[in-house]
Amino acid sequence: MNIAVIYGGDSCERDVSVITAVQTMKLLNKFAYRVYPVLLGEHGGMFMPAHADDIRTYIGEKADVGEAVFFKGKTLCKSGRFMRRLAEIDCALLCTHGGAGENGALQGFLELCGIPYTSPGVEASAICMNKLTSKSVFAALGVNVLPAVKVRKGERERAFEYARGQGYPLMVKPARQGSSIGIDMAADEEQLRKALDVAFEFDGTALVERALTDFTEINCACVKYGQEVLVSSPERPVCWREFLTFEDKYLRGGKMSAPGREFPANLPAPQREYIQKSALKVYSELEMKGVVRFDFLLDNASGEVYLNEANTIPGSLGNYLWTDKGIDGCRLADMMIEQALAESAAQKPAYRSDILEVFGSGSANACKIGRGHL
Amino acid sequence: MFCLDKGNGEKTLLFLHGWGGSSASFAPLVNILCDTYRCLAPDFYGHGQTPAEHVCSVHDFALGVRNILNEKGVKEVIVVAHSFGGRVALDLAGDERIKGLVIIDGAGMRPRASVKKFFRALKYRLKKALRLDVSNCGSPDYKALSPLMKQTFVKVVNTHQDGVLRGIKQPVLLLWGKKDRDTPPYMAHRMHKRIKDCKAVFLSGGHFCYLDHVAEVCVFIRNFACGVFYGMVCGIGGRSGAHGVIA
Repeated sequence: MNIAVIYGGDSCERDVSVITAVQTMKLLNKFAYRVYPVLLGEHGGMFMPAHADDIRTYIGEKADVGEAVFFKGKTLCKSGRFMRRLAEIDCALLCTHGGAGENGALQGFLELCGIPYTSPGVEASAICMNKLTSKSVFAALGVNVLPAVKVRKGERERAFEYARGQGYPLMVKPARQGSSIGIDMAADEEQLRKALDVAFEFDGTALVERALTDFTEINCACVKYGQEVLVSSPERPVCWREFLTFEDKYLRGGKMSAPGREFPANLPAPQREYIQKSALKVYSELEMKGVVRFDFLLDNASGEVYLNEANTIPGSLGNYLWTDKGIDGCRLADMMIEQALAESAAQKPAYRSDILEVFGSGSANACKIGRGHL
Repeated sequence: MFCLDKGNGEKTLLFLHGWGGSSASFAPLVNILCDTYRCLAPDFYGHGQTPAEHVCSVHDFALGVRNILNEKGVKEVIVVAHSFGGRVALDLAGDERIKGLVIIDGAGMRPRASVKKFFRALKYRLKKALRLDVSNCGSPDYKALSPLMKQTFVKVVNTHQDGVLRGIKQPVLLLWGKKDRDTPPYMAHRMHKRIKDCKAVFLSGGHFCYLDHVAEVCVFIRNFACGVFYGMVCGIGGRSGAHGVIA
């Protein structure tokens, strides 16, 4: 079976994506799959590096390495003076983070090409990419979210107005960025101004929301396999990519600087249940597939749980969240590929109309004469 | 027999160590694989924490392993065997609880005759006939043993299991060192040729190649286990494709 591992892209998380892809390529079964690495170029285009599963390939001045390739329907071709067909791709394993790779654009492209892929569909990807849209969708599904206000680049006044009503501290995030890039906390008006400047560097739209002062981040992932959806145990990550700044970590001392993570997270039963239930709800209501990691915030003071965001293509494909269920990275990749193939194989209803024949037979207005009114 | 039991997954892996090793020989693999698998690693008679009680044949070792499987109540298991463990694994292959075999530089094949070996045997016979001291004859493995284990060793190395190969129904994965001198790659080729459902991977390195490529070997075992336990459509079964080779 031919698997295209697609990674890279133009987003800020390009390097994380490369790491995910390298890890995943090493995990794939070499006997069962033929792996075709497809690196999305920084300025468009696709490339196929020679030693794709070696991280050293990507270290250097040039970002786009390898030969230029492209998709011709399901066929992966090498471009150049002569086109050469490389392989008919059976499934695309997506390791792209952020940007066009995660917002549904790549998914849409693959759908047009007719290639099954291992991430949620166009619709769900697009919803989860934008933090504002996703918030309203999650809220509509009855899941707790922190209220936020949308601020466009020219409308900074709205943020200050919101701040006067809400009070500080506030969290400022660009609407369409992942991995906590451009996220900043603001404790007063001066800091809010600065935080907005930073956020607008990354996106034209930002959101301002109430910041929790004492909270725990909890991750929980879902994956669809066959007809059922598996929900992982919640995990409490303790790592550098927290949207805490360096000072924050320093001030909190040893508690946050402890390396590693807590898995499964030691949570009270109601919170644990709530997290798993809401993750499952969002996952199944938005008809997702593949691994999706949901990031929750647990307010330590009140015990409330808020859904912060959904990652449709999580780092390392979230394979560290399943070990307690006996699922390792290899099995997870197999499951995702199997699921993608099964869903694309499900028959689409064939619909044929005779409008063209009627139109071709010389009728003035086929739509009026054809069966029923269209 | 002493048996290391680590990890609490539903699926079980059984690690059989080589001659002169112990359950600790597989520690690097066990420590990684125990996150999703239950790992059992017995010490053979006369190795590690298990004492030698009497002279054993390969079959006795296999019986000991069977007892462990009974004791632990294991229903389905994949055996990961290195060197001498490979002999035991081949003996165990008839057991229906064993769903797959991973043989790393396994022994048990009849070695090719060589001029060197012929002269070594000739020297030993001559010395014996002339009633000279024969204590410095024999392999280093042999010389390091107690008298009881020496007899076991002789029994073991004279057991050739080439005939078993055709009868193995389970999928088998061979991981072999390209520069292995104790169990040279021709043994892997022989196994690959005769076992019905067999894949071979050659790694750089010698008889202990799995210690040089711990991460890769773990991935191969995981992929193999996925194919065996979950029956992937395109799992490791079938004989298509040549050897996978890692330079």
